Amino acid sequence: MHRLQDLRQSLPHGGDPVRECDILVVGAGPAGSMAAFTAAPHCDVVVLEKRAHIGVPKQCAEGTSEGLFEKLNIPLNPTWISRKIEFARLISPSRITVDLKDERVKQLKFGYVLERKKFDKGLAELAARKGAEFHLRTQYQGLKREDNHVVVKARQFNEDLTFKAKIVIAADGLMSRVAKDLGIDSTTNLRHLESCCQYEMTGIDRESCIELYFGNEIAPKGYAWIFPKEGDVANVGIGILPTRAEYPAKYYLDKFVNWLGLSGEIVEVNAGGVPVSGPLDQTYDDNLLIAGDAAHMANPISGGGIHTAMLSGKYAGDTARKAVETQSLDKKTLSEYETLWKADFGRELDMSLKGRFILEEFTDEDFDATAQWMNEKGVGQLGAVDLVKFALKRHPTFAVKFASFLTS
Amino acid sequence: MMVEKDSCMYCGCCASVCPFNAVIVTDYDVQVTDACTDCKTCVKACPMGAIQ
Ligand SMILES: Cc1cc2nc3c(=O)[nH]c(=O)nc-3n(C[C@H](O)[C@H](O)[C@H](O)COP(=O)(O)OP(=O)(O)OC[C@H]3O[C@@H](n4cnc5c(N)ncnc54)[C@H](O)[C@@H]3O)c2cc1C
Ligand code: SF4
Ligand code: SF4
Repeated sequence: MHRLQDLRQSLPHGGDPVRECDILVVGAGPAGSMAAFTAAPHCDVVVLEKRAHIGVPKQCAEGTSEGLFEKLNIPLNPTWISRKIEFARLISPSRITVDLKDERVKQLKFGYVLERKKFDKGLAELAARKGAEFHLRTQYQGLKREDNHVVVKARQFNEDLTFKAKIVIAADGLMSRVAKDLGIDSTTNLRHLESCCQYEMTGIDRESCIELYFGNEIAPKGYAWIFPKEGDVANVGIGILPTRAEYPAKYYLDKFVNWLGLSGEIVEVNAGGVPVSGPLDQTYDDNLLIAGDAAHMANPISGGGIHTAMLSGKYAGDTARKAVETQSLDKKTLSEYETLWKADFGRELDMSLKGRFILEEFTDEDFDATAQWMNEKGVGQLGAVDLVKFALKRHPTFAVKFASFLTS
Repeated sequence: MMVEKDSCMYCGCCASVCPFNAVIVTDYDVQVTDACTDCKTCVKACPMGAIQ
């Protein structure tokens, strides 16, 4: 890790050290480290991370898909995987279970429950080996545009640092301060925040399947989950929409743990939030690219954002280094980034947002009826037309929404 | 606004929804600055019920 002293020593006459670089990344989560990993072989990249330990505390249930690492051409280190997942199980409020393990559904490739403390740190190590310079315990504090540069202020331990970068990649997650300071409003509307609490617990013997529990009493306008990890350990968590819930997420989590009669010990407590609004209207500007949760790229239904963080991080790293190489740091050049990520997962996010609004109107009876219907039909056999027919029977008003959702 | 630090997880939900950028969450601390207007948006966002 780099410290202020190193910078001071590099200055002949002392004074305020300014570290000049091509690309400054704020945040060493999956988005930031992927951006750094992608750009560092080609130009001078600095990463600021407020934490003392990358990946700690974890704020995640750690599930991700199997194809992601191949797609990104990232060597998947076996220590990053806590459990390989075979299928998913949906549980309705009256505990009707739907197993998504039909041959056709299997093509979805459920993937892994990761060990994010190892994974996030591992990604950062990959970026470091490509030449990215990491500053930990370094809190980004503010910035201003100057000529064709951005001057960034940060606090490292008890000292103030100044950086001067051609491009800033905002990968600072949910709090998303960097984008705001450059004039892009990345505040999460309370209506679009999934507020989450999670326990990592022992004593949970499960098949290699992720369980998702739905219901308005269980998890108002969200869901509760059990994601099994190595041995008898699992992430047991809950996400709720605070605007539609009476109590904080932790209240519902404690209730859920009691309801299921989970009797193991809590070996870790996690809290966090997911922006489920769908992506920001604009994810670039002069000298700026915004990636991952900072750009609200998590999937609005599942809350999953590891994949979009990594993919957008890669596109941001690619776009930024090309811009540096051609010395064109204007927003027109950087708009290429938005074209890239939209072509990849823009539609996934659009569809999920529409789906989220439909699910938000579900009553507990709707969840039960849907689960029953899925089982009767055979999950793998369901097509779009079946869904519309079912929706029509159940909810004439929503059928219209369903139809527009499926045909969009 | 007051954060009950004994319950706080430094998760950043409050900061993410604050319309006035009035909350600063670091790795180990949370501060509400003078920019706070007492609008109470953050209260509902908190998964721990720690900000009142
Ligand atoms: C409870 C919960 C469960 C989840 N479960 C899943 C799941 O199972 N699967 C999935 O795919 N996704 C899940 N997600 C979402 C996923 O965790 C995020 O989408 C993902 O971490 C986003 O990556 P990121 O790099 O954009 O942001 P982050 O991982 O949040 O990284 C941002 C980094 O920026 C740093 N930072 C922030 N502000 C500053 C600052 N001022 N100065 C310096 N550094 C700063 C932070 O410390 C952090 O390290 C879950 C989220 C939550 C809250
Ligand atoms: S939302 Fe609550 S737990 Fe999270 S940082 Fe703010 S006060 Fe602390
Ligand atoms: S009360 Fe409103 S202004 Fe004050 S910290 Fe909370 S959200 Fe921000």
